[in-house]
Amino acid sequence: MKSYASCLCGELKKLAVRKKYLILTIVMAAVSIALTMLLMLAKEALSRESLSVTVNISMTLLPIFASAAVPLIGIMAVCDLFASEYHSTAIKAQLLRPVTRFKIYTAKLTAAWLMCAVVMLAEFAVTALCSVFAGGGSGLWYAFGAYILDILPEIILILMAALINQCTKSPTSAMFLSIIIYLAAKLSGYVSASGSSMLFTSYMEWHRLWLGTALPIRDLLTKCALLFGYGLTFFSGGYLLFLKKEF
Amino acid sequence: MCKVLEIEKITKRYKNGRGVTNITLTVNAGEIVGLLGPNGSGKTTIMKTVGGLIHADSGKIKILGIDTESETEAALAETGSLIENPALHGFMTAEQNLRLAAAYYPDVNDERIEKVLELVGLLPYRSDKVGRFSLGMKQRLGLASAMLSEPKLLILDEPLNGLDIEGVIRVRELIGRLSEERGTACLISGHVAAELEKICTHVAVLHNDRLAAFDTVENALKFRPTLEDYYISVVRECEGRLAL
Repeated sequence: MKSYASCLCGELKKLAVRKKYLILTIVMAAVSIALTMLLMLAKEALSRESLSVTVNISMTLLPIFASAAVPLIGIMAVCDLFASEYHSTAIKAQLLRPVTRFKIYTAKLTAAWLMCAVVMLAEFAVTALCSVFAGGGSGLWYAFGAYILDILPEIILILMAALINQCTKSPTSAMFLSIIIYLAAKLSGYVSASGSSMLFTSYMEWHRLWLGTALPIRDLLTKCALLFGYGLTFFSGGYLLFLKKEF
Repeated sequence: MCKVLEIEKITKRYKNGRGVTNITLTVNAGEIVGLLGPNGSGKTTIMKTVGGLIHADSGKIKILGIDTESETEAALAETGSLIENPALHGFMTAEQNLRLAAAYYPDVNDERIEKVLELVGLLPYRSDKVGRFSLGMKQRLGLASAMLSEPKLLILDEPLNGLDIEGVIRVRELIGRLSEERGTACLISGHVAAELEKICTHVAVLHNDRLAAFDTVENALKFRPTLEDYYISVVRECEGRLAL
């Protein structure tokens, strides 16, 4: 367990040293602030109190964070920790240390997911402040729950990206393929309503199933089992390829 | 004599047909074994197999009696490696790279990190990004990373590559000192026989994917003036045997 913790700390440090994640988080926060300011200006110009009072910035921006921005960060993190390290051969620095490949693989996945979680929570903090300033701070606990729930399905996306990273040789192609496959799955969900319930990308906004009008427990369990199945398949495939990989 | 590394009948064949066949080799504590052979003879393949970077088709490897395949963590706990080019993160500083490695060893502290940086002459550059390092500096940092945990076995694949004259002398002395004072066993590869002659206590000659000869450097130089002559004589003997 200690070697896993060392491995995970190392992966987190590697992600933290890269400035792009911080910059992306700041850009997303800046967009949230700009949107709030626009709403407040609109409120003043139109003098219609009801326009902005009901707007909860956190919930308004959550679909963008959960389905686009945070998945992109997750994919980037996975590509940095796998394909980039394969390309630069820096992965050998870990493989030659006293730690098993299973621990290396799971530590990388955990680090990428934790990065998604940190970004998601940081964005919640910013949008919650914006909501308070815009006068829509009443449903913040609900929004907090929604942000927490939406962090969970990012795991499946990270597992999928990790599997793709084992099949490609360059970080660019790994990144490109992961984004294309995610986008294709996401868009096909909009095209075919019947097929969308079978795609994990349709559950990136996981809170919709649990908060508000809750689905029957049987449906919820079916969807949990579906995501678990996706996760297990992606993990098994990715880990098997990682285990067999030669450097 | 404590057996630090035991390679038993290792065979590894790549898709292109190259690799190594039936290699058996033992490195005891305090011994410095030089793997000598032409490019593509399988020196790096042997080292990668020991380090777990590639999987052998058959055979067994034990480090301090521990099987590397079934007990990877325990076997690699006493190993420090520099295989092919140094495995470093270019976007991190020299010190950050060593800290990442140090996390796996409970006994490695800040003092030790500072000491290995000083040993390889990189202490003034500890806060510089590795991406801006020259080839020689990267090689020195790779050596520092390999020696960080004071391992009982050092696997060094052409460790003198890219080093300047002073660097070569410094590394040579360092390896000799580790072997004498701490009983560190070393497996070193190289294709410059003269360099290996100055460092090694034993020499293993690889030819046509196989171990053609294994002896002490002292014995090898009994009837030949240099290790290079010894290597040539071994290769000719092998080729003569094949021709017959």
